[in-house]
Amino acid sequence: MSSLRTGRHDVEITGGRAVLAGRIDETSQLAELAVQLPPGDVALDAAGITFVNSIGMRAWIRLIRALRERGTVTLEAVSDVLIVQMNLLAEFRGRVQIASFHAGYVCPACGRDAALLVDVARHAAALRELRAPALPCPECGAAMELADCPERYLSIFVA
Amino acid sequence: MPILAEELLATVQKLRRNEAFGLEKYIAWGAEVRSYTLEDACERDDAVTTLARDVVAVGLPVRVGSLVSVIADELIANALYVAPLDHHKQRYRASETRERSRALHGRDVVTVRWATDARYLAIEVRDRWGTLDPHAVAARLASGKASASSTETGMGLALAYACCNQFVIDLEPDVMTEVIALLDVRYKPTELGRSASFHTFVSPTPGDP
Repeated sequence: MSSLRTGRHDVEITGGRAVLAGRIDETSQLAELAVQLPPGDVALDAAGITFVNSIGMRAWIRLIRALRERGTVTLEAVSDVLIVQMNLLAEFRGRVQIASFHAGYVCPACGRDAALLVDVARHAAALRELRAPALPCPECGAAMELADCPERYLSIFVA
Repeated sequence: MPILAEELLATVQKLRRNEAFGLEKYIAWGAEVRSYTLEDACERDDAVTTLARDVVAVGLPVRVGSLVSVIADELIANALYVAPLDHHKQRYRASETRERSRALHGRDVVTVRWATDARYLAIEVRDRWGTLDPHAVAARLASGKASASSTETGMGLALAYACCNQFVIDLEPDVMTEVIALLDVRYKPTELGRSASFHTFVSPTPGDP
């Protein structure tokens, strides 16, 4: 395993898998990550991304483009802030494989809100129809609802 | 772009009074307005962090704090790096290294203000250049996703717009630009319109008929 700190985020690389945590902004050197990852298929765990601004988003787009030229890119556990911004861009529609992502949910029964992990393969049919799956509330077990407009999280899955 | 009756009221008041500037037009009387003036370009991160923290501290959801971070970061960056024009009308700071320290004096001063009245949260960022082109911004926002991905430019304001419910540009050409982003904190996001409304007010340049 190798570690890399570029700007305000940390990356841990194990084979073709990288785990990112922190902020993606003008200080990010994501091109360096593309160099460090081996050629072929790669997986990026983006659960720990806490902030992305427009310059960071450009760097993210370039990273994904560079990695896609070498193989399949699978994004895992994409954080709430990152998946919302990716949904704003046509760039990512159907061009990147997302295994799972975090989305803001709220419980209509107890009022608890939480960023829950959505498994894309498991809920593929619903996501394609812009429907968020109901997930159990960690507090009371009732079915939680998406806390925001489905388009903000799910446009990327609509063909 | 849905427009509420209260947005129309604010618009009419601004036009009738011929006063374009100030977030007070959108916030109920008596709400406390907090202000930060950046003295150096490298204070942007601190201003954004402080603003997001303060917004959550007054009782707004963490989700709103997260949106505020994105909005404030993009609006301040726009004021610091996109607004300044040189004598050749070039945006000479657009490609400047953004982590670099730069003391802000005179026209480079950037002011951030915010307030909430439990209906709206308003974030206002002012620069002293007055060079933002509202028509270009409107065209960029209207073109939506395609332009953001194909040109990779102008993503900053589009991102700020996507995070709010009302987006207002007040402009006095060559004097001041003020961008106000309003978040409606009364309703659940699912009960609000998908797209924010967009408003622009341009003060007449002295000497114009």
